[in-house]
Amino acid sequence: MENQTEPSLLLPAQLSTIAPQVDSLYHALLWSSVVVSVAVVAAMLFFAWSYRRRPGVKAEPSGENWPLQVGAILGGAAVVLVTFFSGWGGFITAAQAPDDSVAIRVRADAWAWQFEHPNGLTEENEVHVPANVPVRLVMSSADVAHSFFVPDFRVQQVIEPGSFSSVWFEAVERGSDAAASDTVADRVLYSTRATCGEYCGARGDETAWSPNGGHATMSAAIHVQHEQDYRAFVARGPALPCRQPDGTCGIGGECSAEESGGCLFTSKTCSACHQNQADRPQLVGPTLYGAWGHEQPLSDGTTVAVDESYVRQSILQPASQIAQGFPNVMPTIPLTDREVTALVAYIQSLHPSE
Amino acid sequence: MSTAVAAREQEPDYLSSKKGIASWLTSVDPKRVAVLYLAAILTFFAVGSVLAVLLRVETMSAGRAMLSASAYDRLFSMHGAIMVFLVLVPAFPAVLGNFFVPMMVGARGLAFPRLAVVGFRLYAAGAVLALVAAALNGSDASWTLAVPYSLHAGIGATVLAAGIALVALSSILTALNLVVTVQKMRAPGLDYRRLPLFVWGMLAVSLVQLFASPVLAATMLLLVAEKTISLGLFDPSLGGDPVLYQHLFWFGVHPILYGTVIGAMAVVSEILATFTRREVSGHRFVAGSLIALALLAFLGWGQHLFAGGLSVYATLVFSALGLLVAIPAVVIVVNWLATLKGGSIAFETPMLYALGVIVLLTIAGLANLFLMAPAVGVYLRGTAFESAALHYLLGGAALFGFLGGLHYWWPKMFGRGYNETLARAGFALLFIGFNLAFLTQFALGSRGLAGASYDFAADFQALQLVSSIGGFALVAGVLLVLVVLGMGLAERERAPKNPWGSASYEWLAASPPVEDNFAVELVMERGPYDYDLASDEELSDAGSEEPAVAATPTE
Repeated sequence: MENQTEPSLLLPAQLSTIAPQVDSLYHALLWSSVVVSVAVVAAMLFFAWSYRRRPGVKAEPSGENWPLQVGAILGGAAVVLVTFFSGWGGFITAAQAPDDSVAIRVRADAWAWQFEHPNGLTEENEVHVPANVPVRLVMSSADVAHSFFVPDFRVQQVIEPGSFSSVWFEAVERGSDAAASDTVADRVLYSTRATCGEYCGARGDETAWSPNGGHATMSAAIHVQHEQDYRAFVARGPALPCRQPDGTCGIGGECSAEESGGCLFTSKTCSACHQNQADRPQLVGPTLYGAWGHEQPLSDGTTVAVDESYVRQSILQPASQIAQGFPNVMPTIPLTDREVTALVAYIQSLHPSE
Repeated sequence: MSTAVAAREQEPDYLSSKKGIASWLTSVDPKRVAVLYLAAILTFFAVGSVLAVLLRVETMSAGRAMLSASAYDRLFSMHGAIMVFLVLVPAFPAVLGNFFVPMMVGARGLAFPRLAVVGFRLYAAGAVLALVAAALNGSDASWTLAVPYSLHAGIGATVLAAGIALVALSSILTALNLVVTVQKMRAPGLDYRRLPLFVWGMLAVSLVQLFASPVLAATMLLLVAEKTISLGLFDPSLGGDPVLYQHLFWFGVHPILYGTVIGAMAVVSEILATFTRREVSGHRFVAGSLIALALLAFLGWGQHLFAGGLSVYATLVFSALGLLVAIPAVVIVVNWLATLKGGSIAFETPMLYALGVIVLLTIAGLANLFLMAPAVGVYLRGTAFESAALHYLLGGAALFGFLGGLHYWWPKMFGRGYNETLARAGFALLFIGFNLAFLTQFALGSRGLAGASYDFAADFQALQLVSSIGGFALVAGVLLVLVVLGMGLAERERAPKNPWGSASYEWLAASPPVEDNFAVELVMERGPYDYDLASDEELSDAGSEEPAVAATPTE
């Protein structure tokens, strides 16, 4: 079926593969409803007028009229059967995600959507998805019931707290490529919106009207990309922070991995336990200043060289190699590969300049 | 007729037999109980309508108008809870049923007069709790008090749930009373073949409430317990299951909502017979369909769990079960139309409401097909479309049926008529306003507007404005109707005994009826719709001073 990529009078644009199926049933129901309603009203008005009370004319006696009763029962049964069987063709398709779907994890809470791509990349209140590839969302809620509702995709799924629910869609391409961006990863074909379809309250103040301030404004932008662009977007991970002109860390501009690592060292809370400056007291964890290149005794009695491999391992799996004399308390902090690389570069740079 | 009968003719009517507020609050006369219910229901109806105006002012345009988002949430929650549980659910059995079922079976009163009083007191206690909840900042947990949202809601939601439980308990008593009255108190000669369709309808509503209200009451009490002593039944953080609440709530409430529509069907059948001067076509089939609707309504609760809480196969099963109600509904509407064909039709206000219900019920039924066909129903669930379909069923078919019944029986209940021209204007305002307000919501929901939204995207603006204008007309109509009926009470001129020339039994009584309903014992020698067997005197609309002549008075 051809997708109608612009909204019509009664329905939004058809931007998923199931949208035309849903809409053809909607239109069939709509037109039969219009015909039936008009027929009922016309018959009612016609009979009411034709048999209006006239002096001297009495009402005809009523009867059982068996053919009418049988007809009405059969008519009702036909409504049941036709609606039932036409009602689940598209539904079965929509209920079963294809095996080759891209799985994206969705966490809802009042009033935000968080998306996690298969490689751990997360997005808040927006999500990039590939076109022409089935996408399966595995969803949970942290507080009350929400419902993931994308009108342009014709999908909706309630998310009850305490259990997982899932929904899938395959976005279609629309029009030509959006304004060519510098990098392919930023190229978006078009964007649509997910809203919350289940009442979930709101903030008590004015901010309920700002984005994600309450049920009515709890929405997420869905950016549809070519599949290879999506792969590039996910592989790149989030933009790394850099020193801004005012000296603070933030997104924007370009800088070395070392500089980004320095920003992440603070923002990812590494600095709470690891000393990164000379002549300062040791904190909960080993001091990292000047550690690179030295031998580190471990709690199991062996020693290991502090190099790229050891640092990376200690960030990703903190409990695997515990430095001797330190408690095993470091949490696993979710980081993308690029962030880990930047952090490693920064830690390598922590030594007296020669 | 003996002198004993003549003496009873002098009896004062039920309204003037005793004076004072105490006489009303302690009266065991079901007609007085019905009038108390009516006063409470119309008051809450006005309150719920005013809340609707505030909601439509807020949603007239995108962005903030006058309410805070949480005020909007509390108002729409209270609007729904009041209109459903305090107005529509008791409206048919407790007002029209208590008053007219005994009269229409030729009885002097209900089987258990005191039970009706207890029922009203439970309702009143529930209503008071709802008012307390409103005073405690209301509840913002929607009218369904859905878990887990309602678990986080304030004390108002707890009190409201307790109030709904009491109202549900009162429904059980009302239903029990009506069932026993119909079974045990029918006048001689009134067998089930002759039973008026209104009585059949009240029997069906009573069956629904008898079995569904206990579930609703229990669910509400469990919710209260969950919120106060943390039972851990529904709360996922205590190991409970919020979907269990959904099942319990809708298992009780889905049939109860259908029950209000059955009530409207019962009234419309009665009005159609009177205003066409003939029996409703296929009387037995219509009666059977009313009962069938009551039974099938118990199978449809799953449709409220589409896209959440149901497996694929359960969804298909509930789609089929939910759709089954279409069969009796089609039978009823077809027979209504067949009743018009060949009738001698008059168009006073009650008939306008009856015709209005035919239109609104048709639209409501068709809209619900969308929701029960899973492929489309999953898309539309929770949207303004679903809300519009619910409003067509409840605020449309059920409410218009109730108002039609009030206009129809008002002269009998109070012995006074009302201004016919203004009453018709009230109907026109209601009908046009209602359709303007909610046809637009179908379109908005189809285009993806989620329900219960205090704000919306700019492209919904135009339709929302039209919907609000319709809503204001609708509420203006409500207030006009209430004023017209109220002014009618103050009319000096007494209403005729039988203003519509109906052959149905209740019109044999004086207007308003005496305490025992009829001055004489009735023996039904003809059916309630046998216009060819009824005497001219019985069908005459002469003044209420006329002695009540029974179908066959006996000593």
